[in-house]
Amino acid sequence: MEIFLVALLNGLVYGLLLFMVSSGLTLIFGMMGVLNFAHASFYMLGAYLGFATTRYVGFFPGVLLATAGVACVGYVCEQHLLRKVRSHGHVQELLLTFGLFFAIDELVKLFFGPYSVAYSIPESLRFAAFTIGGTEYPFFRVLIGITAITMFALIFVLLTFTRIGMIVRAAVQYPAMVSALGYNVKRVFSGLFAIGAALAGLAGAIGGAFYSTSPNMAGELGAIVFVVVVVGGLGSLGGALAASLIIGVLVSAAVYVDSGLGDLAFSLGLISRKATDGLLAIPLSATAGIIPYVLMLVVLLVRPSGIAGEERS
Amino acid sequence: MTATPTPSDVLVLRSVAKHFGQIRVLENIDLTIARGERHALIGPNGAGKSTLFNLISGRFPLSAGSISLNTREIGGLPPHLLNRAGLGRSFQITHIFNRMSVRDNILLSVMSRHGKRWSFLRRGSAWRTIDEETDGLLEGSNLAHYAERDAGTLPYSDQRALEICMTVATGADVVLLDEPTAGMSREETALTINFIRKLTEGRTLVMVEHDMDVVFGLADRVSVVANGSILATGTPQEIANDARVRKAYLGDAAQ
Amino acid sequence: MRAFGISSSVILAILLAAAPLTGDMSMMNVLIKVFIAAIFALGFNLLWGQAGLLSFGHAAYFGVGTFAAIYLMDAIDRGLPFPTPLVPLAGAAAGFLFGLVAGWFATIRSGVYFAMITVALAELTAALAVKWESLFGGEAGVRSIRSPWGPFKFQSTTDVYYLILIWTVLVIVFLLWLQRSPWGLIVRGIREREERVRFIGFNSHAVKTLVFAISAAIAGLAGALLALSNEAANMVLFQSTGSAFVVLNTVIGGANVFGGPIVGAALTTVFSYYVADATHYWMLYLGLLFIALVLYAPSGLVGLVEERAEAVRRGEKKWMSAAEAMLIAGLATLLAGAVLAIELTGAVLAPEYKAQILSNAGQWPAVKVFGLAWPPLSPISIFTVVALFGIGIGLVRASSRDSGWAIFRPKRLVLKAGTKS
Repeated sequence: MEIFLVALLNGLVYGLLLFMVSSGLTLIFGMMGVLNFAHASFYMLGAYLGFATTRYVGFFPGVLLATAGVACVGYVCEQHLLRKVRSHGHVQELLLTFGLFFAIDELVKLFFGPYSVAYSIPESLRFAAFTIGGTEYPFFRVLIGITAITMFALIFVLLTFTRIGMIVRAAVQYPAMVSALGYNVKRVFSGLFAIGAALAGLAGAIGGAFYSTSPNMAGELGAIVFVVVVVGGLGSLGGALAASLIIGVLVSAAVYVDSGLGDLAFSLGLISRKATDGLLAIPLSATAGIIPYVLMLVVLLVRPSGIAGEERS
Repeated sequence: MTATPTPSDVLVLRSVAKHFGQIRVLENIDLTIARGERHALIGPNGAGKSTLFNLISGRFPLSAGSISLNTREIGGLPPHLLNRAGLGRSFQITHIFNRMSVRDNILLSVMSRHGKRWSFLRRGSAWRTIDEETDGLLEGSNLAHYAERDAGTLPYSDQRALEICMTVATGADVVLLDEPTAGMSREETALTINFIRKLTEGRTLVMVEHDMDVVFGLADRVSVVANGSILATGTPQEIANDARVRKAYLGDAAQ
Repeated sequence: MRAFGISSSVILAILLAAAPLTGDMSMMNVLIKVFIAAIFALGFNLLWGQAGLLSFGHAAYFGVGTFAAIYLMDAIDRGLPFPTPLVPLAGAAAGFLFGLVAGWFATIRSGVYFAMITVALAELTAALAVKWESLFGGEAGVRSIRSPWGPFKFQSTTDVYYLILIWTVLVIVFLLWLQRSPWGLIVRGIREREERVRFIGFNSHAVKTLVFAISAAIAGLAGALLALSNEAANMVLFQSTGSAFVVLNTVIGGANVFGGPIVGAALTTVFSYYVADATHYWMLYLGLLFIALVLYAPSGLVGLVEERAEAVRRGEKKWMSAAEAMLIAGLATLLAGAVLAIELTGAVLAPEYKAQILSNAGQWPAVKVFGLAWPPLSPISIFTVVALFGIGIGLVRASSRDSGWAIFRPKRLVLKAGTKS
């Protein structure tokens, strides 16, 4: 039972982290029609900047610096690079962000080397937040969850209750009109892009300390973030949240399941004992990595527009 | 009041409704269109004409009700199957292959009509027929002199003509035209009316129109769509004299 | 343009056929790599240039082809009477079948969704390849040998070279034919305006699925040629680098001309072969080149040449004006400065450098760039970098005074293969 709870909590935390990254991506797409291939690169940059700064200024200041740094990078990329081809169509912008993803990967290797770096949780934060049954639950995981939830609460409040939030929501629906009213819509979009990047960067700054920090991060997380967005429905925050949590919980839960798919089917009376050898004997825990992709394929079969996607014409 | 459908009715809509989430764009639409009829859908902006049009042509799924073509239920069919069932449509914004030659545009439609959908070789007498038919259509649409030019470089009204030609070339016997004369001058409109009449001879025509000249010049019957439902159906003359219709278009100030 | 294309292709074919006569093994090895990369890119461009579908996960089909081939080679070695020269067909078949399933899923959605799905499918394949050690051989991979067939022993590089060259020609002929077929017209119609294609009666999802499958088959065929050439297959082939490179190759060469991906693949492969030893950062340079091209020359290098050739033919422009020559000189100078700066920075930041300082008695060792030794912090190095940037910027500005900064206006990416404009 406690394993189940621990797995569930782990899954929720990972899912919230996923959501921090994918919320920016799905929002930016929903608003600007830009699929930012380099969005996971912001996550990676956050981790690396966190690694670089926390060594000197302490953990929390370092995380803040890293987040601000990634926000700047995002803002500059959008203003001086992406915006140049926006009017030329989504595909060109997609290719450009792909080039950015590739170049950032190489730049990271240039500055930090091609192997993973020793970015880890500071000693002061390695304690248990609470215990479940006999298991201690690490504080840092809880911190990740709290950070994610706080960020969303902040953004929700900003969007719903402030004037700037109202302008943003309007600009998303009718950019031309808002522009005609005298607001600098381009700057609104740049700001949104920077915030999306900052969210990803923050996720990286704390996530990278916990999970791992290496030049492969962007590629690995990027694919899962795409799955979240496809499953959740492009442009839908609610869908992205649901998808992130589902994927997080499924992947976490699978890690604990040492019996294979074959054993499961056998216990359900679907196949004979002999048939459980071979491919079906691979423990579910080993297949945890491919669960997000299988989920995506299932969703595509059953409900192509995603959990909260729009009706297809 | 709508009459009960008869076997000569090619398109029958029964209790058709369309909702986009909470917004009920169309409600309780009953419409029957006879074979060979030329039917116009008119109405004030935002009334739902285009939505209705998109429902019939398979671009949007139905929220309720049924649409049948030749007594066959077609609600929910994908566009390519609708076309093979005999329905063809043009779009409000010209949907042609801009960077392909005018001839290739028509060729694709003719290929589809002859079932050449997985053809990797240009072999056999069928292709001669296809080529002749394509050239014939080019001539008949007055586009032969444009044959090798990129379709996107044609003057606007010729592009519209091309699209109508493509729609008809697929062999569709129910032709749906979405504002075929939008953006045209008086002369171009008159020419287009004749063109449509010629090309849709023997076929059923349903069109969305704003231009009353076109409605009077082409339509046998007219349906007025207002506030998400069909206000009235009748001959152009009957509709022109209908007080409810005038009110819908001009508001209370009309009377 | 057409006559030029045909005559130059013929000349090129003759030269390539004669290449082994020089006895230069190293060149033949490079050419083999070029052929494989070119076939892969051509298959990719069937999907992109013709159908307008941008796949970011094409390495999956390449890898599947490599493994299919290696297992067939193994079977032949153990007695299966299958001709070695036809082994690439196994790669094509494996790629086709996998591509059929993958393509069906991927083409359910379009545009950016499609791109994302291809990424996820590739990651799925890569993850499976890592975990399924019994099939994919884990880190060591799977090895086999080329078996002789008839009079051919396939033990020399020359034998392999000709085998691969012949397959390259076959693929080119096949793709050219496919492009010109009636079905090819439908595919381009989907690229131009899919909704119209559907409304004139074509099942665009089915067509897209088949195009995807054929593209995957060609990728699988290229993978099989790699298996034949290396006599090995490794799960590393499924990694995203392979997928990234085929995109890079196609965009750098140009998607609008049939030969574009071939040129792009050739450039990248040759570049990596000769430059990879000299610098760790060759991929960064390629990435930056890619970004620059997407912004300022989206139809690729071949596209640039082709557009200029058109303009010259119409009498609108010369092959190169003085201002453009100056611009190129300026860009080259800027590039040299950037390379120097990047190399120095990278070398200094590398972990080994600290060790080198210690063993060099506290002195910062020089870094080799362009064949010269540069002490990283010395005035000469810094001055050279600054000077190169300065001269480069100066040249670019001077040239732009005439042509009016036109080069720095981002160009629109247009897919127009198979059209006349």
